[in-house]
This record gives sequence, structure tokens and C-alpha cells, in this order.
Amino acid sequence: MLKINDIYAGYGEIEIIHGISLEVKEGEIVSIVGPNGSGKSTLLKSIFSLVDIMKGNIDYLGTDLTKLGTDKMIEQGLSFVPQTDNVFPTLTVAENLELGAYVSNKNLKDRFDLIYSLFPPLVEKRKKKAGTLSGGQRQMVAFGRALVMEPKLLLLDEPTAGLAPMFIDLILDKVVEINKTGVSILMVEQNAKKALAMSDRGYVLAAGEKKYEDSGKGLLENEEVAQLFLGG
Amino acid sequence: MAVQLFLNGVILGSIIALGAIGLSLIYGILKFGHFAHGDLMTLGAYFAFLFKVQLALPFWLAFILAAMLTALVAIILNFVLYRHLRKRDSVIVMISSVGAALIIRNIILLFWGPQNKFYDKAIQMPIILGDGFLRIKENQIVILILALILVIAVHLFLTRTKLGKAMRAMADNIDLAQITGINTERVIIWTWAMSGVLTAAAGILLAFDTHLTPVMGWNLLLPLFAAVILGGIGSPYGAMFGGLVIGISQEMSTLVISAAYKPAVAFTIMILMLIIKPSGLMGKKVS
Repeated sequence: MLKINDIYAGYGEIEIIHGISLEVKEGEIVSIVGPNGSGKSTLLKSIFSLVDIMKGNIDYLGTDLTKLGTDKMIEQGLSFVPQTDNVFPTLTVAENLELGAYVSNKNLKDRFDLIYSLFPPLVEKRKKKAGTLSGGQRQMVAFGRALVMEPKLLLLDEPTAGLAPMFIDLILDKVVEINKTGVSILMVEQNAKKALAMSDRGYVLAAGEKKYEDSGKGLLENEEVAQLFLGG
Repeated sequence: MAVQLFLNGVILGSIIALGAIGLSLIYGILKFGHFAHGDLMTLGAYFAFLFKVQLALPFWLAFILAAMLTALVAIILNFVLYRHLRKRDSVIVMISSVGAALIIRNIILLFWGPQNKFYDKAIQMPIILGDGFLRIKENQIVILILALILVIAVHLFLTRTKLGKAMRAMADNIDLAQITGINTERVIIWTWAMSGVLTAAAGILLAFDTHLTPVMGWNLLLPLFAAVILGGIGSPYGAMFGGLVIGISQEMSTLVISAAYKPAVAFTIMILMLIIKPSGLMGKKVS
């Protein structure tokens, strides 16, 4: 459903991604792993036009995303959860979710119920300001905001960064649960082993280039990848 | 005496609060100090003078027309000036707003001249309460009621409407707002419109309490910024609260120091706040 074709991207004059191609098929979980500074997040952001794209195109269900406005992307079922600052801190949990549905508020109540059933701890916090929540709960709000529009493809930028260990597994389990409801997932993750173990396929980046691509299992069993990127 | 000063402070404070709400939202969303805010306030007051005195319309109608016209000027400023400079350094946008302030003030001088003007020349007899304990003019009662109505209206707008929530969201985190699909350009235009209406209201109420002069808004710019910083940049509620605190402390300060130092009070509060808690009383924490 998503095909990145030989993309070059970065910030202003500085090119960070040097010609990467990548694909996500319907129903898949795909992980992008690699060392710090390898361009994982930049690659993910390029899909949402959050960085400057110098060359290449991104095909999503037949449309070129590099020419589409954000509101149109969301209408077409694309959603993005940034790594940091991914909630509106002075707004309540309920308001954060409402804004997730800014583009269209059809059947809003049903969709809210869905989010609250996926993240039960948010129910009693719905009137609380998002900025007062714990890291794990804030991440739930961020996921909720991104899921309100019932996306077909969810982009996650390091969903477990900065979380306490007990929340890391919880959030990753939720990712699998969300995927089972029919949402395809493309994520960048630092916990490479955990991410690859739950992924259908994975990509290993280094220095802005694609080094390996294989099934999640295949990459985990690849000795070269293990030695170079997964810490032996 | 203290009670009287407190009352005067509440009146001045609500006027500052009205101006500061828009200033804070613009600061929060567009990340620059809008130095033309005070002169926009003056312009609103003179527009009301045009409608009420020169065209002899009823006060309420002059108020509404002046507010709408000021909102339009704010939107035009955004289109011809700030929108093009936004991608640059915020200092450049700020300096351009100083330029806009000078242009507005000189246009006012050109059309209405430097002399003081009045909405109503009749002398107002204050209502005396409790044996001279408290004196309040009829106009001041109107100011308090109008300011209260406007603050409640702003509150309902910010918490009950989609557009209002989007404004708060953008002041919180404009990048996330964009990712969420909020049409940020449209919300920015509405923010200017709302700021225009509120700042015009502040100017009209200030002139209603005293008189019109071409520098009335410019002179209030420092207390406006002090209110914004005290409340926390980007927080409309902080701005309301900050406005009241600044207004009351300025008036109450005359109990202990000369009235000539009133403007210094706002400045002192602003500096202390920047040293002790730069994010303001109700602002989001700086991470």
C-alpha cells in the first residue's frame, strides 16, 4: 500500500537520506532499525512531508504523497505519531482525541469508545490535562489521537523512547493489537530486537542508506546484522 | 483608599487582560512578540470614535463595527506583512511589527490629530458608595460588565468550539497540530481576527474610562507584555489572570510609591517572573 521509491530527503541543504526504497504491504508490521543518526526518523518523516524531499516519490494507494497536503493524507487513512511532544499538554485527554478527529467528526462517539477500550486507563483521565499524565499514559493519548480517524496505515516514530521498561512491552503489545484490527504499521524503533521479533519485515539503515532488508525473523537470524547492529 | 485602588486596578486589569489574550495567543502560535498590539488597540478606539462621534451611531453599534474593522486590519497585517516573514527569524517579524506600530500610530495622527478626544464630553458624576468609601463612575460599571461578558465569551469559544480548541492546540504545539490535520493557516487568520476584536474592545473601554490619545495603546504595551509573560506565553487564561494582577498591582502600588512609577511596577513583575519562573504561572513547561 505504501511504496517509497528512491527517496532523497533532509533539512534544507543537508541531505540525510540518500536514495532509499521501501515498501509496506497491507496488514503488515514493518520496522525500520539502525544506529542513531542513520536517518530512520528522517525517512519516516519524509512520508508525511515533514522534511524536505529532494528527489524520489512516495506512492500511497496510487497517489503521490509528496504532492498531498496533510489534511488530505489523514482523510486517506494515514496517521503519524511523533517521537516527542506528541500530545497537546494544556488540553485535556478528551480534547486531544477530539483534535485527532479534526478533519472529520463522523461517528465520533463510536471511535472514542474504541480508543477508550484499547486504552482503558484513559477513561478516568479524560478530563485531565495531557501534560499531567505519566509517560506511558501520554503515549496512549498520542496513539489515541492518531487512531481516532481509523487510519489504514499508522506511522510510529520510536513509540517506546523514554518509557519505563514496564511500559515498553505494553506499548509494543498494543501495536500488535492495533495491527490485528487491520491497521498496517510502519515503525522506527530503538529496541531493534523486540521490534524485529514482532515485525513481518524489517529494514536496517546506516548512514542514510538501506543496508539490509528481510523478514523480521530473517534479520534477527542474520549474523552480520546481529553483530553490526543488534549488539551481538 | 485601598479598596478604591483595588477597584481601579480591577478596571485597568480587565482592560489589560482583554488586550493580552490575543497577544499571548499570537506569541504562542506564531512565536513572536507583536509590538503593534498596543497601536491596534488605539486604532480600535479611534474607529469607535469615528462611528460614535463622527457618524453619530449608537455606542453598541460603534463598538461592534470598530471591533470588526480592527479585526480586518489585523488580518490584513498578517497577509501583507507577517505571513511573508514568518519563515525567517522571529526577531525580524518582531521588528516588522514595530514598524507596523509606527505606521498605525501615524495614520491615526493623520486622520484624527494629536489632541485628546472624548466619546462623551459630559462630566460624569461618580456613584458614591458607603459614605465616600468607594467611588465608581457609570462608565466603569459598563466597562466591568462588558469585559466580563467578553472574557466569558472567549472562554466558551476556546473550550466549546472546534476552532477554539485548534487555537489552543496550536499554541501548545504547532507541529503536532499540523500533523493532526488542522488547517493551520486558517486558524492563524481566525486568531488574528479574534485578537483584533479583543484588542479593539480593550482600546474602546480604556478610552471610555478616560479619553483617546494616539499613544494610549503604545503606553499600555509594556503592561500587556508583562501580563502575557506573567500568565505564560500562549496561555489565554494566564493572560487574563496576568492582566488582572498587573492592573491591580499598578494601582495598589500608589499606596507606597509615587504614581509616576506605575509603569515600573509592570516591568518589575515581568522581570521577576522571567527570573523565577520563565514559563509563567499557567504556561506549559519548557522542556
